[in-house]
Amino acid sequence: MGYEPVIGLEVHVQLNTATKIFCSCPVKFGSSPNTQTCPVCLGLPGVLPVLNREALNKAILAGLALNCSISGYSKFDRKNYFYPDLPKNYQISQYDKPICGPGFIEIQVNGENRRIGITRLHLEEDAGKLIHAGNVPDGCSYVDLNRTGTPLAEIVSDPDMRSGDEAYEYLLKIKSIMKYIDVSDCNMEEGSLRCDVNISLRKKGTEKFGEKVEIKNLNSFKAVKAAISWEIERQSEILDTGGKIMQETRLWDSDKNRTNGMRSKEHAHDYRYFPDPDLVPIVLDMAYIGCIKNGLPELPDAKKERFISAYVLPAYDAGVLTSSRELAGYFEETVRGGANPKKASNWIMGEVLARIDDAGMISSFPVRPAMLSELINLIDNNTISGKIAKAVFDEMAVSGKSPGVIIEEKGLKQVTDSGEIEAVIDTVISNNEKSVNDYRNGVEKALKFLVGQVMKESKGKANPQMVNDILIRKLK
Amino acid sequence: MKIDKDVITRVAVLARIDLTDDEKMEFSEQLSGIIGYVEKINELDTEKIIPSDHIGGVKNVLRNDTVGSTIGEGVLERMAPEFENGHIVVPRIIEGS
Repeated sequence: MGYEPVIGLEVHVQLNTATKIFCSCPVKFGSSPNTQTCPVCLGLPGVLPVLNREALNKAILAGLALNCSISGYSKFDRKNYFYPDLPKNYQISQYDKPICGPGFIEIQVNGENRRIGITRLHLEEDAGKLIHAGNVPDGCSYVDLNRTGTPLAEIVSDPDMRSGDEAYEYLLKIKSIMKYIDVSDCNMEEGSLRCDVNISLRKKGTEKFGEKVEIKNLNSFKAVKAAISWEIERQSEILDTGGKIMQETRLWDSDKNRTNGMRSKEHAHDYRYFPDPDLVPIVLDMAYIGCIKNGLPELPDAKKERFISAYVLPAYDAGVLTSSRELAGYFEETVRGGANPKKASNWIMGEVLARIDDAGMISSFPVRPAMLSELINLIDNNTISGKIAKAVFDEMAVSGKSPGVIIEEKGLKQVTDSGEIEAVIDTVISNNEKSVNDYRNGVEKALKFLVGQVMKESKGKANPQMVNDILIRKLK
Repeated sequence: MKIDKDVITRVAVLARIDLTDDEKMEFSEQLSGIIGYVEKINELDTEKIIPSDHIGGVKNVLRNDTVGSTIGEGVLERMAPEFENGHIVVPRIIEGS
């Protein structure tokens, strides 16, 4: 098609403070409408907003984690617009002096490393929620101002992404980093991570950006990817037929899988930003920033590299295990319990992750790291076979019992007593004359069948290697 | 800078104020006068002056992240022009749907 998409993302991350950004109302999802409000966030006359120290510190921490420079001087501005989701008729945001300046993150797409620039990160207050559906009377909208004043960090990327896949990986990385540093729970369903897309097309090989379209109402990472695909196609078609792209805001319709132009009567935005006289500037020195920097944990990329070198894991394993800080901790604790790292990785990526929806929820998974390392060690010292181990794990995942207890209770201990195994083998040999003869006449796969019969007879408890060896000896 | 009728019309739209033609003319004159007076400041050489966002020199006023009291029950309901099912009611703002 000859066009190259140019994509930038604006991500709003809700900071997980106890109170709102400029007042002491609690930040809680799911409270009764309009109960978590006070004169400050309701914008009543004569009130004085005061910045939440924790929101500031979390924004700085987020900036540092995104390799941003932290501004020595920053201030708040009023962004003026009329909309019932903000009762003051302006949003307190940051315009020309954001708390964090340029930075970057690294993403991997199709095995290739890409550096995506971060333009800025700034602090602002969230708006309230408008409800148009449900039992709202015709011609009306409901307003719930609980969310008004919730602290947000808006992360603006450079227009560095070239595909929906890159945008997707970028979002995953932002989410992962924000969760690692514990500044947000990044729950998209509850709106604590939201994303708008800016996208334009340009002829391949040209520098100049095309007219850009903003896409809003994206409620999942998959929607972001799908909306980008849709927009690339829509804009290509317009350009191919000699048309012009209109600079506009479009809404993603997740039912119809398409974007629609906003039919709003709002005039072109003119926000008339000006410094908020109620909020004094933030002046930060190196000591203050350094103090917050000390609280920065090991980040996903660094942890991944360490997992590769310290545990000799494949890059893929290291990537999966470090996708969440909790999961990485689970893995390391399993290894500390004496489990072989690669085996621990296999069990976690396979059996463990198959049973939980979100790696971040690993802390409530019944199988604790010490139990998993015990299980792996039981396989390694031939107490149980790999196959029995899977059954034991099933039971552990349900009951939370330790593998030792389950093996004892169910009598699953592997039989390594050669006399006992020989007895079973003798029975199998006498009951399977045909296969025995087949094997002796050179049909190799008959041996496999006989091993299977022995394992079945022993209810999976016989040591497979011993069964194999003894069978071959007896069939000679 | 002349604050002509077009500027007044635009500002009125942004501020959601209805003005008659006569009022627009009147405000155009008055505001042009005010802005014209303030424009005198342009005569000063501000080349080496850092623009000030705030006056007074106060900085870093912060509050601790401690939950305080919220608005009492029924207070918002009494303030809102229309209130229903715990919500403030406003005219529908999204066209269609």
